[in-house]
This record gives sequence, C-alpha cells and structure tokens, in this order.
Amino acid sequence: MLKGFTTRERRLALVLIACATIICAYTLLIRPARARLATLHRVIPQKQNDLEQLTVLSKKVKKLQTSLDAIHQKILPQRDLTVMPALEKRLAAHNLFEAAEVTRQTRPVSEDVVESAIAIQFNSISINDLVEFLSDLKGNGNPLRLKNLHIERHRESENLINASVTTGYLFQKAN
Amino acid sequence: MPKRSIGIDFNNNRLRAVQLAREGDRFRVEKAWSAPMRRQSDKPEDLLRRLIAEQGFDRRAAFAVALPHRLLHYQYETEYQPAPSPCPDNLEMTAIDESIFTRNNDSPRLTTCIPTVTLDKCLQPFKENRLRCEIITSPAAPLLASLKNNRPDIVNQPAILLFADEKQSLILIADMDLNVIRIRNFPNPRLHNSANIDASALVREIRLTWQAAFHETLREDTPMLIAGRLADNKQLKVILADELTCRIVTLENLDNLIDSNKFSLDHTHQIAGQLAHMALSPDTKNKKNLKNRQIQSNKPVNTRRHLVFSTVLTGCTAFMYLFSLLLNQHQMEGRYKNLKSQCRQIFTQTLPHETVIVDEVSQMQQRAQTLKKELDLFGAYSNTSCHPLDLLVWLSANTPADMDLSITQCDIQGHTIRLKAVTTDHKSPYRWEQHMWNQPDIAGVEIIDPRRDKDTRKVSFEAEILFTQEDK
Repeated sequence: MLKGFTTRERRLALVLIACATIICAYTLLIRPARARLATLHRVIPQKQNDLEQLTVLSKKVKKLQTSLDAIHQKILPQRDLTVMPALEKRLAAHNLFEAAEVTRQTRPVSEDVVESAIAIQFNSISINDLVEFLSDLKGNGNPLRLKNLHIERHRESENLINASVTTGYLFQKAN
Repeated sequence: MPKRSIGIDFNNNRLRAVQLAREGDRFRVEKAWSAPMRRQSDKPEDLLRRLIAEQGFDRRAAFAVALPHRLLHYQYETEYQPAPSPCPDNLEMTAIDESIFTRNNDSPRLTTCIPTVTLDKCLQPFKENRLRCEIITSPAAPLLASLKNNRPDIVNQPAILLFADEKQSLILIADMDLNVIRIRNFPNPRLHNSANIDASALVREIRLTWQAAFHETLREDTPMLIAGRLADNKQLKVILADELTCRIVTLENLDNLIDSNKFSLDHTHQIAGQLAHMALSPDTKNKKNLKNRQIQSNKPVNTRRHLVFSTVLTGCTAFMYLFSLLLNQHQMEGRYKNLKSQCRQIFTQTLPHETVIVDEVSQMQQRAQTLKKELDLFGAYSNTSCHPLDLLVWLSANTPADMDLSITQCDIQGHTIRLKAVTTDHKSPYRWEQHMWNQPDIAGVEIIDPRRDKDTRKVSFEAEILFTQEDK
C-alpha cells in the first residue's frame, strides 16, 4: 500500500485519510444521530404527557358519550299525547288535582329535539303529599323527568307548604 | 553484548554515521551516512531525526559519539607539574576519555575534558530523540583504538598518528605503550588539492608536537600512521616521508568486516566506523563512560508501536461512542414509536369514526367539548344531574331536629339547593354548616346574611349547598 511514496508522504496521506474519515463519520453519522437524539429527548416527554392527557380525555369522552346516549334513549319519537291526561290522573289519585295549577310549554332544545316542559304549582298542601306525588312521578314507565323543585312554607299554617314543580320530557321534532 | 551499534562523528562540520551489526565474531556495515552541519538549520536533533526516520538507522542501537574537536580541552600534566586549567572562568569540567587513554606512571598524564554544560548540550539531541548514547569521546579515542586493533606490530616505540582530511589534521603522539600523550589539531585548507599540495605547515606542526611531547627532535624511522580521507594521497605520503624521515603506514579501516555490497567504509567514515566498533567490542564494555554519569537518554520508546496502540485505542473508543450513540438512538426511536402507537390506539378506540387524525389530544379535547355542550343542552335529562326529590330527602335527613332549624323556603335545581331558614341563635347556622361539610359529595356550603329579627328575636339566614356532579 502506498508504494513509491516516501515515509513522510505516506504519513501525510494516512493523516489526511484519518481526518477525512473522522469528518465523514461526524457529518454522516454522529451529527444526524445527535440531532435526532436531541429531538427525541424533547419529543418523548411531550408524547408521554399527551398519552396521559389522552387517557383522561378518553375516559371523559366515553362517560359523556354514555350519558348522551342514555338521554337519546329517553327521547320519545313524537309528542306523547297521553302525558297530560296521565299527569292529571296521578294528581287526582293523590287528591292534589284541586290544589294544583298545571301549565305546559314547548321549546326546541336542539335542531331535532323539542322539550315539553310542564310546570305544576301546588298551593297549601302537606309536604308528605308532595313527596308521595313526586315519588310516584319518579317511578318507572313515566317519560316525565323532574327538573326543579321550589318549596315555600305556608304563611298561615306550619304544616302546609306552597310548592312549584317543573317537569318535562323530550321528543323528536316532526319533520 | 549489543548486536548493533551506531557511531556518530560530529567533526569537520559534518555528521557522519555508521551502523555496524555483529554477526558472530565479525561485523557488517549496515548503513553509512553523512550530512553537512554548516547552516544554522542543520541542527543535530534534526539530523538525528532524519538519521532514524529517513535513513532507517536502528533507534534501539547503542550510540557512540565523537564530539567536535573544537569543544574539547586537553590537560597535560607530569608527575611534578599539575596541569593548568584550560578554562579561565572555572567552568565545571567533565573528563571524558580518562578510562580510554590508559597510561603508566612514567607517561605524562593526558586528560580530555569538556565543560559539563557543553557536554549536556551535546547530549540533548540524543535525549530529545530518545536515543541510547553509551559512549561519548574525543575523535582521538577511536583512532587510537583503530591503531591498537589494526596495527599490533607497532609496539615498543613512540608513534605518530595523523588523521587528515580536506579541512583539518589531527596529530596524535603516542608513547612506547601506545598511550596518547599529545594531541594537536589544526586546519589545513590547502591539502585538498592534490595537484598543488602544500604540506609544509603540516610537517612543521608534526615536528612541534613531537617536540612538545618528548622535548627532542623527531627520530628517524618513527612510524607515522595516516588515517582519514588523505590516507590515500601518495604525494602527501612522499612529502611527509621525505621531510620527516618517518616510516609512513596507512592505518586501514576496520578489519573483521563482512563484505557488504551495499555499504563499504571509506576513510571519511573511519572515526564513525571505529566508534561503532568500540560500542560493539567487549573490550570497551567497561568503558561505557556515560553510564556512571546517568546522562544517557532513557530507554528508547517504540514510537511506532505507541502510535499504533494509541490509534487502535482511539479507534475503539470512537467506535464504542458511535455504537452507543446509535444504540441509544435506536432505543429512543422504539420508545417514541411505542408511545405514538399507544396514543393512536386510545384515540381510535375512543373515537372510531374519526378518519383524519392530525393531533390526537386537540381532536379529543374538541370532541369532549362538543359532547359537553350537547349534554348541557339537555340539562336535567342527564343521568349526571341530581333528582330534586333525592336532594329534598337528603336535606331532610341531614338536618337534625336538635339543631333548632326551621326551613322556610327551599329551591332545588340541578346540583344546587338554595334555602331560607330560621333559628333561635347565631350558633345553629354554623353548626349546621359544619355538619353539612362533613357529609360526602358536598362541593360547597355557604351561609349568607344571618340576621336576627327585631320582632320575633329569631335568626334568619340563607344558605346554598352545592353537590358534586355525581348521580344522586
């Protein structure tokens, strides 16, 4: 190898070859590898954080989706014309028909869902009557959902109350 | 016993080197080289480096060096006259040929010495090049050794030894025991032209030197041994024989040499060749005068071996670094891929209908917000909202009778209960608040504006209870 050259020239050539090898190795291997490692050191903690966030978000989304699915299952396909008669029947069954004042209101909740809200105002009834009526209303098979409840002690009698109950149900908007 | 040696002669503004190898009882001249030392750039250390690197002389061989004659001082003393110091400024001197110039008690003592500082300076190039310098001597010592080795026939009579070349002559006067008792060195620039040779100065110097040594005129038929480049000059020999009436004998080069086609010693390399021979000779083993002074260079280091070892070590280190770098990168890539696939898997499992995936987290957050908005539209119809009847029952159960608390108004909506109550003192509301805080699923309890009524003397207050977003 390198015959015909002097020792000095051979050494110089070897040094040059070594330098060129080092430069090539640095340029083609070491520098890209170091740059990639720096990027990975920066990106991996971010990705780890993303994974943790995704795990939490995934649980949240699943829960929300389940709740929404449950609501959608409760949405009636159309207005239930039997609700009001059934409500009056229940009021009568609890001897509250006379004491109750029922008003109904319909409003759209979304593009294809409508809410039928029914407000019942009770005057001078006992708390036990109210609880029994609401328990009956909460029972299975009833599409009505109790939304809010307002109770006020009667001014004249400590055993009586005035109460306002808002209830309602959802149904699909007719096309 | 060394197998190879190198003789170095620094005289006459040239470096002359001869490498001799022992083969049994004989010697082979392996290399011979000379280089000028006239210019300032011709430094001894550079020339020695060239000697090893370019000329291929063996750096492990023992070196024997003849110092330039101009650096040496000669002290002559007799039994009754101590030698005067040759250096007026009382420099520390080192005797270099004490053991080589053997003598008896009747002979005048001749000591070759050199300032210690100069000697160390002369040895410095050998130290720098890590060469093993075993013998350092004057040019006279190898000539004397050559005389003793090659001409054992000249015994029991004083002799003159003349080493002459183009520039200078070295005259040695030896006594009957062939001990050098006088040395004279002088330049003779006109001897080189054989056509017009002027040997008168040389003749005069020889006579004067003899006179100084023996205090008498030169005897007839005194053997005169001629060495050096002009040993072959017949005209000079004739002149010297005529003028001095001496028996002229040419001092031959080394004997016992194996014929070598590549190198043959001429007379210019006579001193260097004899020096190398001295270093190899068992007779001079005890004359390696530098060992006791501990000024010889360290054991020569095999630079090439060290260089190769360092290169291999560096290469291995670099390879290991590169290997670990790439391995680390490979591992990190795998970890990143794994994380990425986990993210993708969770996303596709949660939102299977999403086909365009750009940023999993952002898309998932967006989806969660959309669902939350959609769920908020339905409010009380959600399973997560509390049933007002359950909250009423819970409120009734968690308002103990002993607290003397009478609720006058209650509004239940979503996860919140707002109420107005009456009590007999200011302590009861806060006891009730404390009691509420101890219940599970309570996100907040606040007592608002407690005040005592002037007429009834009862304390009325408002309160707000907030539940966590769980099913009741």
